[in-house]
Amino acid sequence: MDKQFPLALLVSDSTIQPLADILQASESSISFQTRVAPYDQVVQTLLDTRSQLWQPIPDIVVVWTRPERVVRAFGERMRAQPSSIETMLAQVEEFTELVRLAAGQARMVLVPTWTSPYYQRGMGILDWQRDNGVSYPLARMNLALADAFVGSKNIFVLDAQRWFTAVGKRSADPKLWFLGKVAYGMEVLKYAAADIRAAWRALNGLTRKVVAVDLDDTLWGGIVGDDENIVIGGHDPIGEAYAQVQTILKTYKARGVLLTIVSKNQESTALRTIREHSEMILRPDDFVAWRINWQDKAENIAELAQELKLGLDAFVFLDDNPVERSRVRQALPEVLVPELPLDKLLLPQALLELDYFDTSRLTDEDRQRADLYTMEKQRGISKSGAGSLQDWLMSLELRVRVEPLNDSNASRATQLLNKTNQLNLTTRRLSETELRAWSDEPDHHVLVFRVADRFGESGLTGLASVRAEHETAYIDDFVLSCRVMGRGVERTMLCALSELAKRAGAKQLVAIYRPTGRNEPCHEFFKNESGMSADATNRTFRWNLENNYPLPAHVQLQLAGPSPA
Amino acid sequence: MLVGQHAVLDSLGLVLFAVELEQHLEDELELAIVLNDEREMTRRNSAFSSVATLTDFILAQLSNTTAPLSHG
Repeated sequence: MDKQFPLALLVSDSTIQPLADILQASESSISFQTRVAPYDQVVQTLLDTRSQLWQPIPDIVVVWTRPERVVRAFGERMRAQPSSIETMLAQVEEFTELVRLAAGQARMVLVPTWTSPYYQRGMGILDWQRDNGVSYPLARMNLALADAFVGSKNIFVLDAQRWFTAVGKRSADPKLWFLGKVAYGMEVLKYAAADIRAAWRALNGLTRKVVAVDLDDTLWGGIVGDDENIVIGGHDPIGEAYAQVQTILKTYKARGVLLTIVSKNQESTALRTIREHSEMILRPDDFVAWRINWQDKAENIAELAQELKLGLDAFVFLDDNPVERSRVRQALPEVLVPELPLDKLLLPQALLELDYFDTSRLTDEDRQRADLYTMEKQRGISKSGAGSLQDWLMSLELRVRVEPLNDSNASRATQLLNKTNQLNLTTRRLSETELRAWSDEPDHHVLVFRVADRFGESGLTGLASVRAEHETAYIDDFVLSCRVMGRGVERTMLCALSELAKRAGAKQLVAIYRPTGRNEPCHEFFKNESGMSADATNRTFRWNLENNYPLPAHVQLQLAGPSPA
Repeated sequence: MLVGQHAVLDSLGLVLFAVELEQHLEDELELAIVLNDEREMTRRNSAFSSVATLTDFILAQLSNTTAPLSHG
C-alpha cells in the first residue's frame, strides 16, 4: 500500500502531544500530520470550527476528554457530593451536541470512552450503586456517549477501557499527570494510536478482505495424513484453542472477510478432513477458494488473488511456519503476514488482536460476501461450459437496476467508493457525509447500480457520478466492484449516465482517467470497450450525446424511483 | 545534552523520559529511584544535564539503595 499522510486534529483536556508524536511516527504505513488544540480548550475548539486549527479540514479529529472535566456533575460525584444521574446525562448530551456540530467540519471524529484509573476505588462496595457510586454513572455516561452517535455517519466511539485493561497499572501515572498534565500512560497512547490508524484504514477502504490460512498446525493441530488424529476441539487444551481459532475465522467470515486455504498437502486428504472431521467448525463451503498442493505458497496466493479478482494488498496470510511466513513476506510484500506465537494456546489471542479487518460500516453485502463469491464460482463453471462469450452473457439473464443516491443506499455506496481500486476512474475517496453533500450540489448526480442474474443477487456493486458544466457532463466517479466486471455492466452504466447527461442538457459526456497504479483495468475498459473516443493522451474519453449510447443486448435495465434530471 | 539551550528533549519530553526510565528501573531491576524531581531537573548542574551525569546520578542512587522493592 502507498504510504498515507492524513491530517489529524487532537482535542483534549489533558496534554495530548505524546499521542501526536506517536501518530507522526514514520515507521507505520500511515504517518499522520498532526495538529494539537490548545490544552484544555475542548469546548472552545469544538465551537470555533472556523479557526486555523480546522483549515484545511482535518481527516480525523480525536476528542479525548476526562469524564470529571466534561461532566461536572460526575466530578461532584467523585468528591462524594450529591449529584443526580439525570444531571450527568444532560451534561453528556451538551458535550455530544458539540461533537456533532464539529463533525460537520471533519471527515471522521473519534471519541474515546471515558475511563477511570485503576487506583480510583470510588465508593468501594457502593461504587456500582446508582445514587452513591462512581463506576455506575461512568458506565451510564459511556452508554449515553455511544447512543448519542448511533445515527451519525462519521462519529465513532473508541473503547479506551480496552487500552487501559491491556496496559494495566501503567495506564495512568499520577507523576505524568502532576508533572506534565499527561492523563494517559505511553503504552495506552500506543494502543490508542493503533486504533486510530485502524479507523483511518476502515474509513478509506484499506481494510484487508481475505484470509489465506494454512492447515497443519494453524487451523488444526498436527499434520493431516501423517498423524492418526489431528487435534481440534475435544477435551484437550490445544484442541480447544484450535476450535477457537476456527470460530474466530468464522466470525471474520460473518463480518465479510473471505476465507481461503493455502496449504502444502494432498488436496483430497485435506478436503476430506474439512468435510468429515466431527470437530471441524469450518467446512468446505466456508472457504471461497483454496490452493492445497505442493507448490510455493507465494505463487498460490498470487493465483488466488487473480481468481478472486482482488489485489494482493487485500490478503492476510496465516501460517505457523516462520519459513513460509518469511517467504511470502519477501515474495509478496503487499500481503500482510502477522507473526504467530509458538505457543498454540496463544493463537486465538493473536487472531483476535488483528486490526486489519475493521470497517466503518457493516452492510448486508458484507455479511453475504462469501456467498456472492460462491455464486461467482458457479458463473465461472457455466462460462466454461458455454460456447461464445456472447452466448454466455445471454445465458446469464443479467439485470441492472439503477437508483439515485438516497438514504437507504448511501452507506453501501460510500463503502464501494472507498474500497474499490481496480475499476475506478478517479479513485476519489469520500466519507458518506461528503458524498451526500457533493450529490446535493446543483448539477451533480450520483447513480448506484444493483446487479443480479440467474445465479442470484450481486447487490449494490456499481456507482457513477456526473457533474454538468455548460454543455459537458464530466464523469467524476465510475466505480464497479470486481465481482461483476466484464459482463457488460460497465457499458450499462455508461448508457445510464449518457441518458442522465442528455436530460441535464449536456452535449457530450467526458471521462478523465486518473491513474493510481491499481486502476489499469478501468483504463483498459475505457480504451478498448467503452466505444468512447480518446484524445491524444489516451486518458480523456468523450461520447457525443447526439448519439444514443447503446445498452448491451444481454442486459435488462431497470430504473428505480425518479431519476435526477 | 538532555536539558538546556541545545537539549534534545523539551520539558514534556524530559518528564516522559524520566518517568519511563523510573518505570524501566523498577520493572527490570526492581529498583525504586525518584528521577522525576522537579528541583533536580531544573537546578544548575542538574543530573539531567547529559546522559553521563544522569548515569552517574542513577549509580549514586543505586549505591544508596540497599534493598530491592518490596510490597510491604
